Amino acid sequence: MQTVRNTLIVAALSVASTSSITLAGGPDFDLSPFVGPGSQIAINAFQDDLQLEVDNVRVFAYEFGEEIGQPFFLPDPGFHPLPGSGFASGSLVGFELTAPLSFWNGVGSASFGALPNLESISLGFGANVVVSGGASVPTPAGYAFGLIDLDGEFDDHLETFLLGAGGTTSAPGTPTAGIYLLSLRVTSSTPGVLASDTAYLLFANPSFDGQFEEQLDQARLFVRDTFAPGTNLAVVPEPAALSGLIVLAGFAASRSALRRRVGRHVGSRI
Amino acid sequence: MSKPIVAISLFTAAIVIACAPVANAQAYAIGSDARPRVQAVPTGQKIFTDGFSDSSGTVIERARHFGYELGQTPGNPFFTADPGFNAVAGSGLPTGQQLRFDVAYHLRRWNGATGPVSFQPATDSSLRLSFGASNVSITGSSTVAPGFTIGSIGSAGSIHRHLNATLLNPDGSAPLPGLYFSAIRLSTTGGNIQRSDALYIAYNTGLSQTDFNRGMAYLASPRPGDANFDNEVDFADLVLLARNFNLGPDLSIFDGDFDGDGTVAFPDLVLLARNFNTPATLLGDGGVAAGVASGLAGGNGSNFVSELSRAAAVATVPEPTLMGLIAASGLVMLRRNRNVSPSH
Repeated sequence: MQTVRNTLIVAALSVASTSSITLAGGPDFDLSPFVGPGSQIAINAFQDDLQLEVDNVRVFAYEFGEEIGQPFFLPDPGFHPLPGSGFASGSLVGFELTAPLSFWNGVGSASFGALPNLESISLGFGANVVVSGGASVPTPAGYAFGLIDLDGEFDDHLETFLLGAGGTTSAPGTPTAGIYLLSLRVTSSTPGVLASDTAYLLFANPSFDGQFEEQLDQARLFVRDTFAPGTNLAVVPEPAALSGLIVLAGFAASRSALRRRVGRHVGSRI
Repeated sequence: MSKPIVAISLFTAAIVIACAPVANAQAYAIGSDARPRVQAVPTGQKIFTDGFSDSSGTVIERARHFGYELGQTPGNPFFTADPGFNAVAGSGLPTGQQLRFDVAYHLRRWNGATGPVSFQPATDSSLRLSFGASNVSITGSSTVAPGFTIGSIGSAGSIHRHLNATLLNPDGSAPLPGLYFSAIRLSTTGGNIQRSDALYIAYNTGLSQTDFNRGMAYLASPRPGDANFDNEVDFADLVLLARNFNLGPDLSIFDGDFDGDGTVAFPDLVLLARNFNTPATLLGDGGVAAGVASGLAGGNGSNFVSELSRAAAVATVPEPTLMGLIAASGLVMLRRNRNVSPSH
């Protein structure tokens, strides 16, 4: 089957200094795993709407409060291996958590520690659900959910709920405002393919009216530099450039331009 | 009624009958997202949908019938994360408004049995559509019901969201194999864009790919006159038509709009009459040709008018509508008699 995918070619941006970069905001990136060197899963970031791809990303950030009437729900993270990913058709991609949920309240320098009020995060896909609190990694630690198609692709999103004490999102168990850190490895049922290195998912809970973008930026940089040095952070271009890209993305989509993993690239990265 | 008026009426009827459109075969998409977009219509702007395959990039224009396979992932035999709604930048959907759906039809099932495709109310199962904590369950007896917000429309009219669909039985048993379908309509919160026509969402569990396709083909192009997709054109369909006669402007096949113009009117009655009480067909395209041929051959019962009156009574249509139906039925019968009694 011929694979159709649209890609915008965007100049790569390498920034040595990380002191004054705005990272958060804008569209969220999916995890885009593929079979990398040594048959180990590697992860890029892929932005569906803009068709932007950024290489070698292991820190992803999301923000609650974007869904109408559902302040503690997100249809993220998404997993989107692209055509030519190297996963066998009919195999399954999944994840396994590697560490308990941790928390930073957004004050001072980024530092993740114990949960303030027994919060937890559930990651669901249909009947499959794992709930991670701060005490230990749940058992089982994850599940397989993404069915690889003939081209090596799928695009599925987990459903994530942030829960307060007692597994509720309402008072008095309302989840504390701050940033939550979840760690996981991407797995595959493809024979001989090894799980990825740990990827880090940050979830900001702005609690309705808080502004956590700056703190989320700090957290991303901290986690990347601390736990995943040498990897990139995926960013979306500045608003002016973004609007142009959106128009281009629509145009490109309408043309259904052909695309394969070979020769793909590249969104902005830091 | 004077002779000139009768003559004019007959002439008009003949023209109307001759021109009565037969619903065109509709494209259906399997495994595709619905791609909403806004398009100008004479009365303003309206939501239309195309089919878009994420994996192949294929676009099926004006698709309104979407089929999905359940149970593609372990532990989820009756689940799929579809339908997806994937509007691209430039869709015309208003940025900042919310895209939502509402339930337009109950849940029906075809068991895949040998013979004509025939959907019946799914009496044992329900279809649960959810997104986060928002959810709605559609049963075999559901009627029009509120759905929920899918999401906020983003920059330049883009939005990409997938609902979760789960087929389940109240007693926890496994749903029967078959092709299940319901229908929904998309709308935006601003109120200045007309809602979409009915979108049919179908889910296969346990049927072969061939039967899946057969079912989708019939769903997309049922026999004209078959308002409930059971492959019979009978009294039940007549009741549905009578209930909605002279109504519009965005009605669907299950309302009795067989010519696809959004209203239920005389041409729809003609289409139904042509196939009334004719045998079900094996044709995947809805058996339009066979249905018309057999209908006009007069093999579908001479009691159509009386059945129509009875249908109007069952449907409790208002008197003006009833009079319209009776008048329309008279025109249909005139046309029928001319076709089946050439020697007189």
